[in-house]
Amino acid sequence: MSELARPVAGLDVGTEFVKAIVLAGDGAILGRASVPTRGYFQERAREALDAALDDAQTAEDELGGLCATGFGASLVHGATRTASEAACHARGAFHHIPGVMTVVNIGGQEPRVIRVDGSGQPTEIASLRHCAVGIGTFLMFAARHLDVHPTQLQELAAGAEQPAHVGSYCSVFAGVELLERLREGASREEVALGCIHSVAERVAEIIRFEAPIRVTGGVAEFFPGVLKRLSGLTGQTVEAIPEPMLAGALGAALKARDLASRAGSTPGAVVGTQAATAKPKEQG
Amino acid sequence: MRIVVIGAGALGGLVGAHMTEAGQDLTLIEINESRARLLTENGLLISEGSAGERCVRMKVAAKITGLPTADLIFVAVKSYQTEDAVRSALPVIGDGTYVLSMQNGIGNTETMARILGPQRVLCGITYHSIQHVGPNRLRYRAGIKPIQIAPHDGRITPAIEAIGEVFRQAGLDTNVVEKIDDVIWQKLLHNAVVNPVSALTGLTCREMLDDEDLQRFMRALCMEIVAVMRARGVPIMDEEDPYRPVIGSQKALGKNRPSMWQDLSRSNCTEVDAINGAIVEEAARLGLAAPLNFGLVRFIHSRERQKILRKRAIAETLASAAQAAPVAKARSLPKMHLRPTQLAPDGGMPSGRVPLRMAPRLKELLRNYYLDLQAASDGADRMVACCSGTGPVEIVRALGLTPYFPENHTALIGASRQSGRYIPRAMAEGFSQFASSAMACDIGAMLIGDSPLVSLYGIAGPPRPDVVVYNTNYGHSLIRWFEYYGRQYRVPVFGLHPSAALDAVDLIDTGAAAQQMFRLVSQLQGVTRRSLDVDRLAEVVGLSAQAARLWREILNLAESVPSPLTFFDALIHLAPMVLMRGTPEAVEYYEILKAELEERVAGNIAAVPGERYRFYWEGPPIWCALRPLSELFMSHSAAIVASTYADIFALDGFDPKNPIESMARTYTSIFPNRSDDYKQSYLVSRLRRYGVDGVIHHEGRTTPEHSNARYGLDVSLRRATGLRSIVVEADTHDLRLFSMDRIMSRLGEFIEMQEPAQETAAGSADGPDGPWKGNENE
Repeated sequence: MSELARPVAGLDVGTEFVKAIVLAGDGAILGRASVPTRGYFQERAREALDAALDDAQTAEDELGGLCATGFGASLVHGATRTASEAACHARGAFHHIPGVMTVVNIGGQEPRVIRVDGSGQPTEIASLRHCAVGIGTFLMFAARHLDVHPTQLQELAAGAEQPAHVGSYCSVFAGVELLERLREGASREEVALGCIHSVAERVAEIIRFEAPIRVTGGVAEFFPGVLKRLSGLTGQTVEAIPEPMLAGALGAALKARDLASRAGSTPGAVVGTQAATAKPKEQG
Repeated sequence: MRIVVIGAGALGGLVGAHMTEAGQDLTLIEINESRARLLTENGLLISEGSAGERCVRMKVAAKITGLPTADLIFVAVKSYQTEDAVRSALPVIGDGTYVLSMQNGIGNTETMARILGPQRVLCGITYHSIQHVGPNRLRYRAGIKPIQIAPHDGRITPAIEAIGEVFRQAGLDTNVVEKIDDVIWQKLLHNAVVNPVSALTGLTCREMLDDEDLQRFMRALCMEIVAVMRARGVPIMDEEDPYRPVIGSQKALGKNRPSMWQDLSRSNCTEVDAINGAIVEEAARLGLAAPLNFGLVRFIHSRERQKILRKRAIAETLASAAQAAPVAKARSLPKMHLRPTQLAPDGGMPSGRVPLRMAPRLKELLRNYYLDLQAASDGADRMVACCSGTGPVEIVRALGLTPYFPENHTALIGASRQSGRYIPRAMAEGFSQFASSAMACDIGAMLIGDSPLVSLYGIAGPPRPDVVVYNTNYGHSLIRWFEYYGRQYRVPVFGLHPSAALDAVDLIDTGAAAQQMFRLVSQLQGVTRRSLDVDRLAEVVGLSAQAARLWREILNLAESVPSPLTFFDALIHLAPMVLMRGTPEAVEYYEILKAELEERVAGNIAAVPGERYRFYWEGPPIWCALRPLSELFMSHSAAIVASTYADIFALDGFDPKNPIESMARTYTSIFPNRSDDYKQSYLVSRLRRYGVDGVIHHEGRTTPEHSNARYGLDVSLRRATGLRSIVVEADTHDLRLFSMDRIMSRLGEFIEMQEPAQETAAGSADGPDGPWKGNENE
């Protein structure tokens, strides 16, 4: 198999989930997986990669490269490269919808607004000031206070006409604020909606948004109400790319592919602990 | 009745809870010590259907040893654990003890009878549906039929009847019968059809019902088992359609998955041997074939092996990785290892910063300064003035006072990473953590009575001042700091308060500043009991002018590409400009430093080998993180070639012919004392001069006056120059106020962003070192 045709993998080791993508040499997604992290960065990274390889019917020693990104990127054994989250999300979004755009990555931790140029490169990265980081994780805490599973928070919010306002910059304060709303008599539905709105409000404060706006990250998948509110606040269409949570892993996989194809047929590009038993390559 | 329940799973928990509530003397054995502790402390929460939940506290033990002989032992472990459980129970089995199994599958009572003899073994069956909904929570539905208990040898004794009564008294509807072989097989049929199929497909019962292919298979599987049952003489529940009741139980389970699926999903062993395996054995004994059951047993075992081995393999990999060398943090892998570096002709280090030859000389210079300071502090005939960094030190020197600079002291504290010790002490004194952390470090050190000067220079510590002098040109937050000194040491405090936020500095402003300086002169004359020698002042101002000019010229050398010095070098080498401004030593030092740097420029020697990117640092230094920052930039071949902070000390305008007036103008004109408009145009011109790729704005949490990005300076600068910028939210001294990890990763990202967008095929990345691994920029 020539280097260009070898599949590659991308791992996005996030604070809430580890996401993995196995990409074919031609750029098609062969396998995908996401696993809750719960602080077990290495184990879950391993699990996610295995699950994606399983899904892709690919063995690890067939991979031509593995790129890691995200909070726990440095812990991935056998990565042939690491890449920054912003670059990966930009690349992942660009892969789905090429063109100049603003990528808004809202994941577990730091939301970022990334201006992407016509070649998929980030030209500007802005993120939240200080205390309002931890946005996706804030929604997990909100779900706990509201006694619903995080995947049901959006559903709960759908039952409200009005949001109960939660406005603190600090995720910790916002957690207390939502309890104050409950104490004042707001319904759980209204508070849920308020929390979802507050995430959009913090994101909208980052920078002036330029169309087109595309969202990546787990929050878009589990809490689409955030996008709706963000659209209202910016006065622009805000849409998630397909499989927004996997954007980082996809971008990472694409970068692994770039490195593999540039590296040509060098055996050193083989990933993981099976490196010593690499099969001889065909010269293409 | 003394009862011991072995196995604190769903069944053991349920039965144990009921019996305990009915007042029986019952002990539950849970070998997992943490779970045993949990159950002991929190009890077991059970609820029937949608009824309320109740908490039952039982006696829980992790081991059987030490317990008295039991009347009844209830075995509620998994089938593959039966033998071990019974053997472990031997110490509490007496002559009259009965051992009851109510487990899934076939073979458990045979196992028990083999060990204990047939008379004491009881076989039971239950139709309860029990679910774990938490580590100590169960939800259950009573079975449609009562529990049935039968003696293994078929002989019902009064003692066995009594056991049945105990169950009934505990609220569990129970019949004691002669044999339950038939009902066991009838239950087994359901288990054997539903469990393995769900376990292998991962489907819920509802989903299996919707799958035609699976239903056809399960029907065939059912008929295979029915054939075995018929051969055994077990009555079939529904003779017309033996599979119909199994459909019923799938419907009853609905969106749940049976226990075999749960076991596999937790990477545990399943009870397949006691279920489908037992059917295969029985079929063989009866001369029948059971190929479908045989196949399922093999598949399940294979899956067990995969999951359990995988679980073990992961655990082993992690255990061995933890012992191996720490994982190389790919991101911080210095690039210089992979690129050819420029070696200085005199042998600068090939893989690190190229140090300036001046460094040891500087150490010597500073050492002398501090020794002299100590002498001034100790000497009865000398006086020390606490002075602000951009304060009127020329007047101080001209009057024979020895200046000491708390701002320099605090920079030392930050750079030597001592902030964490001193800031809390200042906070205990009443300073908020959001007030100047630079001040908190210095004051904290003062209160503790400690200082890095002790270990660095061998002096007793900072001197005791006789007077305090400051200028608000660097910012108004200084005032509280210096006034604290005044209160602490009970010495006079004299401040200069020039007009602030000036756009143009005109005569009125300099006039006012000069007036203040005259007032300061007379105040200091009062303290020193001396009058100012104007010639001496002119001399000092002249030396300041020379030093300032040299420093300016040194900073200008950074315009060269590559730059011979970085921001981090400048922070070290500006010390003489602060501490020894107005002395000949400072002038001499900068003359030699300038010469060395000019030599570098001539030889094209870069401070950052392989300089790829050039940046400007706007805002105060992050003193508490200089080393990691310097390494980060070095590893990306990025040079911070200029900064506002270093520029401030290139004080322009001292004129020995007009000492006070020129001091007034110079000190009032410094950057921090100017308007936003001025700051912007100043920065625009600096950025152009140094040819930078981007700007780094440090927004210090406790330095609001120097955090220009708070007011949008970064945005307006970007608009004016088109240069990329990043705002780094950090602090000068307090690491607790920001996330180091975060700013390092954001800066790394920012630097990477400067890489040209298109990497043309072959070419640049595959340089002389060949394709390489690590932190690739894209």
